[in-house]
Parts: sequence; structure tokens; C-alpha cells
Amino acid sequence: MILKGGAPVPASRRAVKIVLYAFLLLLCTLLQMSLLPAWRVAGVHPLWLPVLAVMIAVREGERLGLGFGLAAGLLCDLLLPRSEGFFTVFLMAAGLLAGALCEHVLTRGFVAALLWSLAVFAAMDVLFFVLFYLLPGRAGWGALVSVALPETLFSVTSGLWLYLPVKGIHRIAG
Amino acid sequence: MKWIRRHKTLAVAGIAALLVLAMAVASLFASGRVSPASDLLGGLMRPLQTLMNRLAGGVGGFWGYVYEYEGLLDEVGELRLRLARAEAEIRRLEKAGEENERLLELLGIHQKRPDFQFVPADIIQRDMSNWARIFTLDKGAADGVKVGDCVISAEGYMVGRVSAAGRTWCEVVTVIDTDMAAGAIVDRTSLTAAARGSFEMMQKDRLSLIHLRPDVDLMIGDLVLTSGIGGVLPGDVPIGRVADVRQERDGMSAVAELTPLADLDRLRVCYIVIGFDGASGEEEGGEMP
Repeated sequence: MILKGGAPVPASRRAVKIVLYAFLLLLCTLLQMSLLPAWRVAGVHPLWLPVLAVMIAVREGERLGLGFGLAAGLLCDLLLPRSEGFFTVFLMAAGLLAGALCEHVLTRGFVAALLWSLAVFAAMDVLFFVLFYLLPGRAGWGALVSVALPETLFSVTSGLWLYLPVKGIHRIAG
Repeated sequence: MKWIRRHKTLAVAGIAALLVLAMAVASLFASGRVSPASDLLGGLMRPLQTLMNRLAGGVGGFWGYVYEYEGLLDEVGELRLRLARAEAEIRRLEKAGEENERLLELLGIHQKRPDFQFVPADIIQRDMSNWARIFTLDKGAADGVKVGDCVISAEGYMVGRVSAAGRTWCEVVTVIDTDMAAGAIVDRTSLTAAARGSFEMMQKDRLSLIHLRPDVDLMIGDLVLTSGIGGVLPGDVPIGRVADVRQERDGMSAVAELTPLADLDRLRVCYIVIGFDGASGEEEGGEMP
């Protein structure tokens, strides 16, 4: 990995960074399994794992974006029923895309993290709904308004705090 | 005087002997009273005695500590062992208590529904999604569980239906999930209808009673049971109570909202009905509608 100035990041610091991000992902997973399902607004509870994956991708670029998108996606597929590997594929691709664009083209600040989180979450929910509910004829478009919209808004707004530890780890570990 | 000067030691010893003799004689006649000399001596000696006593106690304690250390270690080991045994006993009793509670529940359901054959199962995972309300239970095809089986709570209320069955696990769609569909009957009026889940209702933790006539005779609080028509699900299993009745937008039909009787958020143990009187057996190995 190369910094903006061109100086290579030592492998040990990169390892520390990966361990810290993995710890944050684990913490998020534990929260997702314990407290978050009980925190309901407009009938939905927040889902923070995709938000965390996007924020890591925005700060760290395509490699870690791909890796942590894959990890967060796997965890989502383990925790959420009827997903058939959807989250793994989607979040891996989203992490790679967001990471690559933020690394080479766009900015890496808070606003970018917020907009990317909203875009990725909304796209994920729409695609999930179309593939698993609309196309099999299990639900109509109304579900987008009753589930996808509140879930996207609630998850992203309540998960914005994740930007702080991600930024902190990025700074500490270089 | 010369003799005294020459024999000082003998003189002092003699005087001392005389004094001791005098004190002994005085004590003989004192009859329990303390002589002034003894009192004075005792007063002078008391602090010294106290100090000596404390020193002796300290030294004795130290030697006791040194000599008894091994014994204390043995005693600590013994106490730890007894504590571990007591804790194991408490755990065993707690487990026995839980088992007893479960058996009592089982007995209750057996008494209520003697026609049911069921398997108790623990909830091992709850879905974390906003798109479904699904449980995973720790019993599967190896225990006789099959797709479509009705799942009830300890109180006998409907929890849901088995939607997928592995060898040692099964997935249950709860009564408020969008895949829920069951024939229902209103207990008070014997009106039959279809109970279904929907996204709109799922957000409220409710399900709907659909295809009702606009002038349907329903009251808030009416009990809704499974109809058992077709023999797919057992009949007379309480699903929920009517919480609201409203007209559909087209005005041609009405919909009732049902609040499930089973407390889905607090459930830990479920009972899978693997057989009942009048079962059609059509669901065996098949897909749930």
C-alpha cells in the first residue's frame, strides 16, 4: 500500500490496522446480534455491518474495501435469512468500487462516507427486494416504502458514528 | 554492722528472705485482700506483663503461621474443592429446575391437546433482518420434523410453521412473517377467513385476516384460531386476537389486524407439532406454500 506522499506503509502497521478493523467488525457483529434488533424505529432496526464495510472502503481504498466488504457480507449472510450469498457478493463489489473510486478519483472525507453509505445501502436493499421478493412474486413495490426506505435511512444515520473509529484507526495505523 | 559490711550478699539475701516471709505471713492473714505491697508491685508489673503477653502472642502467631502454613494450604485446597462441588450442585439443580419447568409445560400442552405429537425445540437463532421474521430451531428431520409442521408455544399459541428442515435444525416462519398463510376461524362467530402476513403488518408485529365481507361481524379482542380445514395445520390453535378492523380502499372487502398471542420476542422454547388427529400428511417432504 502506498501513502499519498509515496512512502510505503510498513507491513507491521498494515497488520495492526487490519486487526483493529477486524476488531471493530466483530464489535459491530456482536451489537447486531444483541442490542440492535431491539432498537426499532418505524418498524425496522438498523443494520450497521454494510455501513462499516463502506466506511472502511472509503478511508482505505480498494484492497481493504474488497476484503472487509467480503467479511461484512459473509457475516450478513450468516445473520440474515434467505440471502443465499447475496450480501457477500454485493458488499464485496461495493467495497471494491467505493474503495477504488475514493482512492483514485473522489475524496475520502465524512461527506463521501455518508453519501457512499446511503448509495450502497439503498442499492443493496432495492436489489435484495427485487431478487428475493418482487421477482418471485412474494411482495409488491409497497415493501420498498415500508421496509427498504426506513431501513436505509435508519441504518446509515444511526451508523454514522462508525466513521470516527474508522478514521481513528486510519490515522493511528497510517 | 561490721558483720553486715563484711557479708553484704548474705545480708541482702537475708533481708529479702525476711521480706518474703513477712509478705507470706501478711498474705496468710489478708484473707483475700490485696496487700499494699502486692498492689504496688502488680501495678508496676502490669504494663510489662501486657507487653510481654503481646510479644509472646506475636511470636506464637508467627511460629503458628510457619508451622501451620502447610495445614492452611491444605485447608484452602479442601475449601476450594467443596466450593467447586457446591457450585456444580447449584448448576445441576438449576438445570433440573429448567428441565422440570419444561416438563410441566409439556404436561400442560399434553393435557390441553392430547391429539398432538410434538417435539420440544430451542430457538438457536433469530433472524437479524427487517425483511423476515424467522427462527431457527435445534430439531430437524432426524426428529421427525417436516416442512409445513405447525409450531406452537408452551401456552399452545401458534408461533409459525416450519419452512425448511435440515437433519438437525429447521427454519420457522413466524405468524407475522410475509410467508405466513393459514386458514383461520373466529372463535365467537365461527367465521372462516385467511390469516396472512405482510410487510405492512410485520412492521407492527401483526398479521391480517383478509377477504372479509365489508359488514363482517368482528369485535376488537375476538379470538382467532386455526381452522384446520384441509388437515394441513391442526385446528383450534389460537393465532391471535383482533386488534383493528378496517375497510379496504375499494370498499368491497374488509381487513382485520391480528395481534399474535405468542410472545415472539421472548420465546426460547417452541413445540413442533409433528403429528395430530386428522392430519392430511400432504406436507411430508413438500414445500410450504
